[in-house]
Amino acid sequence: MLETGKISALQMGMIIYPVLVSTAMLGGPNVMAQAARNDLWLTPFWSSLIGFLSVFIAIQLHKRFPGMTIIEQGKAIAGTVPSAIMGLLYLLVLLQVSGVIVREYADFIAIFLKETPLSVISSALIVVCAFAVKGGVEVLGRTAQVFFPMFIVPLLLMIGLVFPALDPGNLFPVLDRGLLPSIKGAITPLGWYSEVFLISYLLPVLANRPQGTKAAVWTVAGAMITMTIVNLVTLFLMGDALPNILFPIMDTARYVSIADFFENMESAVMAIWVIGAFIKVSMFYYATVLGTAQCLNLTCYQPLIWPIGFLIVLFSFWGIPSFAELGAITLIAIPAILAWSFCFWPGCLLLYAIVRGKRSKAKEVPSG
Amino acid sequence: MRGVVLVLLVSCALLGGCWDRTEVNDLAIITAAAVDKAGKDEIDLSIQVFIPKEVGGGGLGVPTGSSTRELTTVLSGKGINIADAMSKVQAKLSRKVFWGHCKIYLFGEEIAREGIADHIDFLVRHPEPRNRAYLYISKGKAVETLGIESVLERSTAEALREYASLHIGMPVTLIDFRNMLKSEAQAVAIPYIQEGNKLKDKEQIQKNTPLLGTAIFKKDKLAGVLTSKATRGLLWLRNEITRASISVDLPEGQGLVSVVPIRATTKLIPRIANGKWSILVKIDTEGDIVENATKLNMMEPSSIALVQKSVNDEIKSRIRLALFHLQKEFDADAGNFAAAFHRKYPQEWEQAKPMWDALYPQIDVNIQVQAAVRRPGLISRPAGSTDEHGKAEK
Repeated sequence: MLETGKISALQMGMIIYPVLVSTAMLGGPNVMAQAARNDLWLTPFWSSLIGFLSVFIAIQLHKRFPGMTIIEQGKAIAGTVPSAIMGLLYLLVLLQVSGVIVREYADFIAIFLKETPLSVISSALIVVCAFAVKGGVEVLGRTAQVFFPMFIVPLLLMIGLVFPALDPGNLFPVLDRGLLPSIKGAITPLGWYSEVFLISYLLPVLANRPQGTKAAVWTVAGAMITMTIVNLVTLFLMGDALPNILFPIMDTARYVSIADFFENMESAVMAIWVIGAFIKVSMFYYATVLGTAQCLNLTCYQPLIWPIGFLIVLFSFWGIPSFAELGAITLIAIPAILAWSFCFWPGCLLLYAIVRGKRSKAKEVPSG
Repeated sequence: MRGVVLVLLVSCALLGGCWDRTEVNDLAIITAAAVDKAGKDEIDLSIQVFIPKEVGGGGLGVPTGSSTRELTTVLSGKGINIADAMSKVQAKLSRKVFWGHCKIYLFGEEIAREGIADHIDFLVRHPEPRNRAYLYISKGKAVETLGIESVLERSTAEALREYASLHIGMPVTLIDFRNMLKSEAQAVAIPYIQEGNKLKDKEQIQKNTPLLGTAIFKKDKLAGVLTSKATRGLLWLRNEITRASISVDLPEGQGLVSVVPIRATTKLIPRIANGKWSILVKIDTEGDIVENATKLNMMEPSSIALVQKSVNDEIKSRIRLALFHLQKEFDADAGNFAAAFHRKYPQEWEQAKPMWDALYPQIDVNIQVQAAVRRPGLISRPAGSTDEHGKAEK
């Protein structure tokens, strides 16, 4: 067993929640508004369906193969050679996605820190994340728990402060072009929600496994509710201008002005985003490192941390010349990759396992 | 332990924020900016820059803070757009310009007629300018307003900002402008102020009000200006009225009564019947009497009813005035009827959208005002009435 730590189901939820929400905190309402316009409040509901599906797949796989991550499950189901190929492909996906997340983070920060080289911004994040990953899953769980209120409170505070300026009239006309636009808007968020499948790496280390399902389902539901609220708030504030505003939440924060001096809350949004990105990148980083170690049958994963961190920084530059390119990638390509690797492929594995009647031979792998 | 020390040392090097370190004394803080048309395809950007000076540092007999010393200075540069002109202005300054405290953007009338969306783009795209900065359109050249000294405030920028927060006119921020421009109506309203050289010396400031009315934009081009009175009508239409006193001349020549609305809500109720588009403007308001120059006792329900009726008519006529200009003269939907129709009749709206310009002037507007006078103030009979004393006491 590579990972010896234990986390609680609640901690798992607190790790996964920022994973789902933090990308949406940046451009989410904008992305959804482009297709869904004023029906974007319904969009998180559609996209969360894939989140629930991913949770179901991860839980079912884990029931058949307790104590195993998706990489080990792949080995048990598909055999050594096919699973090795699939595993490597899978790790490539994780690396690529981590790279894109890091780049999103760095590009956002670079809007304000113009002079700072992008590589410094992304490396700084990777260094911090590397320490968290080195500490193992327990450190990850605890940092997530500590940061969780810092993620939620500024958001709620901000919504409270712009509340008087909101115009619910922007919601109308409701669904005037039918349901289709709101479903179209759900394509990109599908990718974010399928990321919930990362619980596959956390389920084996849960101290209270029966609680795991509940925590995962609640996390997806919580992420859906958060996104719906955020979508509504930005829609009420900006109306038809929303599809043109790249960072609606930051714009909302910039709108706050209480008594002429309590202004420029965008630093709060930066804080939310930095914390969210830290947890999200740490989780992807951890999954990549652990997955690689399991794929290569190593006895410990720590030596892989720095090389993989370096690779993530490289992936954050490869093939992404500009923010516009990044936007295009994150709109379709990344969600497609995510949905494939976090929902479709595990789903196929699960079906195959069910058809062949494969289960873990040992009753329970003692972990810890 | 060695690791911890190493981490601390490395952080020391990094925490300085080497690249983006900015010192306050390296910045030239812009308090207001004005954009004027300079020539063909050229603009004139003027910025009002705050001059930092020692505050209260006159302990050694150094004469600081004397009233003659100016707090701001104005610099200008020409260019094809704001970014270009900005680089010209920057060349004149020893410090890096900083937009973060710029709270006022002024546009000259001439450039407003040609369209200001291209210039606004710089302000909403650049991360430094603030969303909550106020926009004004100036009669004549906008730069002249920057030069004038304010009586009460530190600078014209501060004066205009305070002015906007009083809600006498219609305060419009950058974010409001952006949202209005993207709205279905595509009509924008921005407060319109007196040209600067009419407010130069003390006498002129005492005589003239800075706010002249509201500039109405069709898309991003200036279509016309509403007078102060018509602006009130527009504010009623947009449900933005917060401070207003309504003086009405009571019928039968009984004199003037002034009412200040405390609460006011406006609802736009669109209706499409037999292909005819109409809209009902429904206003509910309540207020107190602040001045009574009639002979009526304001504790009598009958006289209150009289006042209420007159107030209703007055509000109606103000809205009619604003609508006359908006519908017949400018054909600019600043009251955002388009959104009301879009929300209630999405299908019909989709069809009518391309010809909204032709349709808007034809829309029938019905106005329903429900004014309630709640309190008469501190006295019942008018303060100066003597002749009708007995009658009023009955």
